[in-house]
Amino acid sequence: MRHGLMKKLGVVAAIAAAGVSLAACGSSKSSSSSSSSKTTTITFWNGFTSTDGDVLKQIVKDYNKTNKDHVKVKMDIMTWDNFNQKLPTGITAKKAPDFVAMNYGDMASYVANGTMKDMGDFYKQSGVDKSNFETTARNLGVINGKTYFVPMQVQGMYLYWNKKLFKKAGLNPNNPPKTWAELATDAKKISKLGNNTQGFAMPKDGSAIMYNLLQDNGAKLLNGSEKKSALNSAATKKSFDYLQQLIYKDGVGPKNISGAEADNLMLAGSLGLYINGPWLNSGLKKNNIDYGMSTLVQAKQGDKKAILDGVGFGIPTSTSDSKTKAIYSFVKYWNTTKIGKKWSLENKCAPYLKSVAANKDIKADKLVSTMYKQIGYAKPYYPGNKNMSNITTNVINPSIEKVLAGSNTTSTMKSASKQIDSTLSGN
Amino acid sequence: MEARTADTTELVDSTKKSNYHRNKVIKSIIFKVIMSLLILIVVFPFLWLLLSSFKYEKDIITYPPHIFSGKYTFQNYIKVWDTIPLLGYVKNTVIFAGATMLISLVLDSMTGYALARMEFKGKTAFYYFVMVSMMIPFMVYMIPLFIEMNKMNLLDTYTGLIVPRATTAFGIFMMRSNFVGLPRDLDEAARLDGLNEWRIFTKIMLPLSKPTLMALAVFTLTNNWNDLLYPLILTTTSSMRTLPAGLALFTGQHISFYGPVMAGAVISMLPLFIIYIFAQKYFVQGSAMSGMKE
Amino acid sequence: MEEIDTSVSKKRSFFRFWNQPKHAAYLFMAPSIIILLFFMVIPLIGTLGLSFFNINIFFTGTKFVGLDNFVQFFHDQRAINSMWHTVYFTLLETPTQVIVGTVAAAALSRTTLFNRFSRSVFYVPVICSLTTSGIIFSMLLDPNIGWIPYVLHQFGMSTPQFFRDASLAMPSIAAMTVWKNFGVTMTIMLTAIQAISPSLYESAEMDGANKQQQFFHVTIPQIIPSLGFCVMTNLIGSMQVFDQIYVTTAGGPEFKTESAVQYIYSRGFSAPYQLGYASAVATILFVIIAILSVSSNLYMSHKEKQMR
Repeated sequence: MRHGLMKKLGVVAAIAAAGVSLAACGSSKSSSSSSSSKTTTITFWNGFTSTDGDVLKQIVKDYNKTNKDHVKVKMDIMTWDNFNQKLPTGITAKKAPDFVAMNYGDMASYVANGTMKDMGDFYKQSGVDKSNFETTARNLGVINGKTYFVPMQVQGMYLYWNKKLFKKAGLNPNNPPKTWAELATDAKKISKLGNNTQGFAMPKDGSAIMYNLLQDNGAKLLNGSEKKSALNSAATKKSFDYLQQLIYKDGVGPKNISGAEADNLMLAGSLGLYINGPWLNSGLKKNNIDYGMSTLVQAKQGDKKAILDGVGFGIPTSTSDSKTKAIYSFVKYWNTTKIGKKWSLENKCAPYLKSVAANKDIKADKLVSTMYKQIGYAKPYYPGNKNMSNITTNVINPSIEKVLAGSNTTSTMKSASKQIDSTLSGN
Repeated sequence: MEARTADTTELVDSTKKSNYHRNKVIKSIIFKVIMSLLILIVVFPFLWLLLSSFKYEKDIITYPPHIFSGKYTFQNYIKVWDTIPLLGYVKNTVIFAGATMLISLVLDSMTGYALARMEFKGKTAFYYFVMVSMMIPFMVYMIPLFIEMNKMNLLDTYTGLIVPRATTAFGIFMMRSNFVGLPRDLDEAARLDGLNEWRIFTKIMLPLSKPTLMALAVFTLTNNWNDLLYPLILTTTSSMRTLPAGLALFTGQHISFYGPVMAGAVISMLPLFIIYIFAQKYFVQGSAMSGMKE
Repeated sequence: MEEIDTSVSKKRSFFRFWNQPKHAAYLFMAPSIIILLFFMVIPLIGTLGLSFFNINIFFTGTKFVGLDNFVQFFHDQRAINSMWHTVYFTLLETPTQVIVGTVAAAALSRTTLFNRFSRSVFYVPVICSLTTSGIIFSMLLDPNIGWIPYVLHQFGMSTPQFFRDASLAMPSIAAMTVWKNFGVTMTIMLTAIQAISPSLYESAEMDGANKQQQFFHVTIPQIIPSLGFCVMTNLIGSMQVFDQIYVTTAGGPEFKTESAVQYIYSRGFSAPYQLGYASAVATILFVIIAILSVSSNLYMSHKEKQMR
């Protein structure tokens, strides 16, 4: 009797699964067809959703057409936020991409959870010249003495200004502010132009700007051993007060704006001064904005401080070893002089390969050489610390938001410092 | 109510009568103006979206914003397929929402039928189980469901998306109410004719339930088509994402294009809107039935 | 021969057994019940179970921690605030939606061409997803590119920031939700109003009641059960608010619109990926929703008994 029941249940289950298997058929077909041919298809996730993504797509397309290793790169571009929401679940579900391009700040936490492969042998490949990489760039991918990431891009935060608005406000369009104080003065003048013109935008998720400001003012996030917060200091308060005065009290810019929205303000030509990474260039060009870009403002004229940031190629542990060769083939292609030059020029970012930096077209490009100058003295921020991405999203960004909305800076700083301590002790 | 008040006019003298009529006309005008205003509030965002989706990016982000723009373009509708894997989203949504709808129609009506027209041990307990299930929100058990699906290797698959949604307590409840309402002697007569239980269900009961089935169909279709959190959690790659999850993930940081997102939004709601135009009755019925009391 | 005979008769008796309604019922229900058990009941128990563990999304370093996660909840200001924000949203959204929906239903209860058209239009947002609504409104209400803040600014207001203003964000989200959902309430209430027997109005009129009095003394008492149902489902639905927040503000500004579900999601599925702690918060949310459901159910049936 029981046997019969199970059989009937089986039939019922089969009915229920009918539509499902139909659907499953569709998905399995596509994977079998690709494996039958000789080419190795490797999947690639990254967050280049801006105009830089178009350049990246072009490079991948060229690679797929020309490479002799029978490799096909299939790319999936999403916002960085979603990248960090989806990659962990992907790794857990064994649905992770074969390789990724990851932001420097996020790398350490993935490595700490054992989800990234050691890529040290990449530099031992034939045709890879380790000495051609700038050491600082190469070291961005080194965590606990092991190479987990290979450089894809190095970047920093730069100062952008709208020359048209500078002229309108009676400022010299060829003389951008050099210090944070000058930036405040210029921004104030521009914000008085009216018609929704903003002087300076500080995004509420602008931790990259915040870290630069803190460092310039001599504030520290963590103590020497990186076991405790060192945020609670006069220098931090000075930095917080500066932003609060500028945005909340003087109202030179929007109080509650995300990075993406601030980008759009700049692209629409209604923002005078802005600090952002290299990816803004191509959009500004496309929208015909008359703008300038320079190295980041400093606390005192003549200072040379900046944070070095970057994106690196990494391989999740879920990727089978058989695919490593194919991935290395693409990464090798990326790190050739030809592609490095193309990426630097079209996307306006600093080169990290010595052969690219020495190229005369690169030297002739004003924007790229400005960035290269800053990359020369920039230093990474708390390299290899696995708590940094957590601290950034859950402590620093919320604190920026509070400061911009007018909360008491001392208490904001104190509670942020406490939160950092509890984050550090939680692990 | 117009007709009803007309009867009473005899009691009112002539001056009052004209006053009354004037008041009525004014009232009716005020009513129509208020309603038209409300209609405008409801419709304006859609019209604005539609119009803006045909604008150049430059005109979308310009200040001051304008409702109309001098030039219109199809470029957003061309670009969107390239910037967002929209075709895949549409395909996934059709498979997920469509298959879920079909399977749950079968399973819900089977269970609803048993609870409505069969006597068996534990019937009340099962009925209460279904009623209580209706009150349990997905959000409170999504994390274990995620882990469970992961252990069964069903994350990011159509099977994994469809099976947990292949029956709903509400659907069962709705079908049960439907079957309770059918005449009692139908199945008894059929049984005397020698039809077995399955045939009674498929040949007699289901054909009589077409309106309810249609209402339930559009109800589950809409719910699954529009759901965000569920596919967000159970899919990981963009090749498996549904329209809402895909679109939501594209409005995050560093988006420097509104146009394609607007075009994507229009495309995502178009299929349901077309179905609504033709099957409005069933949509409304589904909502009305959700408010049905025993 | 004999063997075949018995197997045939066995089959026959097997069929006869399962063809009895009292047995067939189980077969009819089996698939649904199995699915509900596997994909609802077991995970639901799992939520409680997981809340006693420290477990991250990579399943590394899983550890039993007893009640620690619950203790942490009561020290986690952001978590407690997320509960309050959820309640705040519910208090804003539910009454507004029920009132707007009911008034619309009462106003449109007669079937004229204009009224039918209005009803069709009011239902359109219902079929539009919260995601799409969120995308539309976040652009329409954007202080830089949105048309509505600009128009308000032209009328002499300082440009309202809507989703970006800490005190305006939640009301904006609630208003958007009402815009999207009042068609449902309207439909339910319309059914209830149209079911009222005309004779009740006639006798009220005989007693000299005007339309307002009729609405309060005839319509309202008759639709109380449906009204109660709308309030109840809306309450419980509002406690689960997520989609519209995820799309428009993602919990900001300053976490002022972070709902309980949004918090569970961001704790569990973004850094630091704490599935155990997120489960503990989910357990607490479930208890709150359960208390709400049961008490409103009891209240409703009590009310109905009173009315009879």
